[in-house]
Amino acid sequence: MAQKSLLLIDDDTELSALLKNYLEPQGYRLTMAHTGPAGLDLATGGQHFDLILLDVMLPETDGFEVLKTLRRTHLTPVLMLTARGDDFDRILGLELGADDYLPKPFNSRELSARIKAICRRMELLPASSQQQCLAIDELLLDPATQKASVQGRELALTGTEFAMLHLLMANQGKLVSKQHLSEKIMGRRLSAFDRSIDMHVSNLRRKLADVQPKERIRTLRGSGYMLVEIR
Amino acid sequence: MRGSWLSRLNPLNSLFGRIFLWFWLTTVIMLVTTIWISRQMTDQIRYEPARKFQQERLQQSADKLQRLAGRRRHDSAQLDELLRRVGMREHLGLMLLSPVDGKALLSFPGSDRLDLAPFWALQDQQAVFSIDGPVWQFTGPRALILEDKRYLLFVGRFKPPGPFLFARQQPWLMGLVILLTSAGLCALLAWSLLRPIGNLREATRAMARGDLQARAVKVASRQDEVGQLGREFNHMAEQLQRLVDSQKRILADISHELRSPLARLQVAIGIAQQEGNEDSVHLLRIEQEAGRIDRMLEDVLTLARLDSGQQHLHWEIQSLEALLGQLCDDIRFEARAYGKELTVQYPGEIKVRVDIRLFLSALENVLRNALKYARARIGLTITASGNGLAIRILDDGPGVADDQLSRLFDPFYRVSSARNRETGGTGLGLAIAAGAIASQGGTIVASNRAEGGLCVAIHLASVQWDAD
Repeated sequence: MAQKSLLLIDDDTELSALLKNYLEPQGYRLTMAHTGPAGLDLATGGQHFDLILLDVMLPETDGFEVLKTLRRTHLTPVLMLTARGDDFDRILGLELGADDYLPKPFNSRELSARIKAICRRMELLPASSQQQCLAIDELLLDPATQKASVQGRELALTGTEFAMLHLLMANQGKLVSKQHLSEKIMGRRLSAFDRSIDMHVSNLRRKLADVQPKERIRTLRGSGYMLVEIR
Repeated sequence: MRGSWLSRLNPLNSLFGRIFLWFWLTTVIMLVTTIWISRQMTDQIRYEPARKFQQERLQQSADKLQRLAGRRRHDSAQLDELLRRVGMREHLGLMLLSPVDGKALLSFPGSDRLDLAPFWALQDQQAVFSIDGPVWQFTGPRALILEDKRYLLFVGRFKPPGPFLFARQQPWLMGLVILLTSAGLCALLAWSLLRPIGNLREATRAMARGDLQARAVKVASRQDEVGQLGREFNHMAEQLQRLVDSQKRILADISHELRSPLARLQVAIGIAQQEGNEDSVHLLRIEQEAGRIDRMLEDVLTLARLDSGQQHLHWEIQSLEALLGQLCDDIRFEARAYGKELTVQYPGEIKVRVDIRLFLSALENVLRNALKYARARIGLTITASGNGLAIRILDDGPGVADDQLSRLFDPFYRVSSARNRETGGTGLGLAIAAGAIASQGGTIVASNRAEGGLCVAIHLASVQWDAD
């Protein structure tokens, strides 16, 4: 496995140094930025990052601002480090296009598990057995290039959204339970409070509807989702 | 000093003034009316020196009579006719008494209505009197010589039946009117005194219930003493709220500040484990305790946010069963690990409109509490009640002493016998549940079951959502 390159944007320099010590032996290369603008410059500066660890509570430009600006041009996977005890942060982060969140303070093992899950999501897909392109109505998805389009217009999907669309398209017309989505996409069991799947689906729906305002992803009694043909 | 003393008597600005003046006025009015009524009601005849206009009236009538009578001779029947004519023209009652033969001539009918004795009594008087009877008033006497005969003239009229005529006839009716009028006035006074106090009491009660934002708004705008009391109350409430808020904020701030060192500590533990101490029992223990602090901070912060009322509510509509499915699975799974069992009863297919996170967090905290103390069985029973939901979480554990039931939802409150880590979580679970339910406008109550164990009843009003 090639060495993964991570960008950590956090104003706590001591924590950043510790994280560097913790993550580098696990085979990650860690670049650090301590302010929002500095992190944004690095993230959009041509250097490739496999994942950005973004703290919500940054002085001046906060994490949400950074994420919003970043998402205008880049689809780099983002793991938000949200303030523990503030549920609203999580939802807002996911709404703005973060791939996952982790309340801070976090257990270090939990952190490396999340990082691993997101990286695997990104690289597993092209290598999966379902290499062939999928096409439903005018919705096309090509796992090899990680691109999806509707009516020939390319969709700007984050890695997580792409993975989700892929899973739903591969199971077209069948119910995909939230539990299954969580395990396959987020790499963890679904817990009662976890709204990540719903948020990602809602982002995906919005992006699809921007091109073609028709219902493609149907919610089934709160237990799961199903991709259907357009009538 | 003088000004302030006087202003105390202003009934608009001072309760003292109002009570003082009210009682004073009432006493005076009562005395005056009593005297007046008693005078009105007596049948006694009063003699007073005649006033000027009465004397003039008497004089005019006497002159007229004399002039008309002087034109020709009259016999006594003609004199009677003349008297009647003058009386009609003057709109007066004329009366001629003849002391010589003791006869009386009247210009009006109804000699039977009039007892003439009081007039005869004046026959030797030189002065002119006003004679007041119960239904008439006459002025006289005025000596006259008509047809060579000496007469005494009295002039007067019958009074219209006064308001107290009926009172004389039906004293109980009068009593009733007095009773009702005075009752009405006194009720008005009592009401005007007590209305602001009721308002103040509502505010005090709200505060006792824990609503620190309660203020006596209406009372405080008054100028009188109750208004002052209201303002003092508001001031006190303000101070109290500030004090409690700052206490809460300190707790939240500390928790907030502790997060950074805790984050570093947890990464440092990770590094130590990575450096070949993976299996160190002590490191594992440190990690475990750090996790516990972590959960505690989260709970304190959650509670602080719920208490501060700054909780943003995200209403969502979902099927109840789908909403609770995952939570029930989790709890059931955990329960099985302890050899306990969870039974769930739904009211059938229902859609609810709730803040999902708050709703689930409340239920989870109560369920976990039940799970901790249950011997073998935990029950979750949900029934539709009207447009709302009644949720009951039952366990078959030891229950709680009755006097501690109400404190169960206080932060960090633990039933004394259970003050050990084996059963205790952070001590905030039920407080968070109560806060989460309250912020959605619901109620939560704990009670002991007759068959043993605790029952926590949650009621959420109008959360059911009709799909149509």
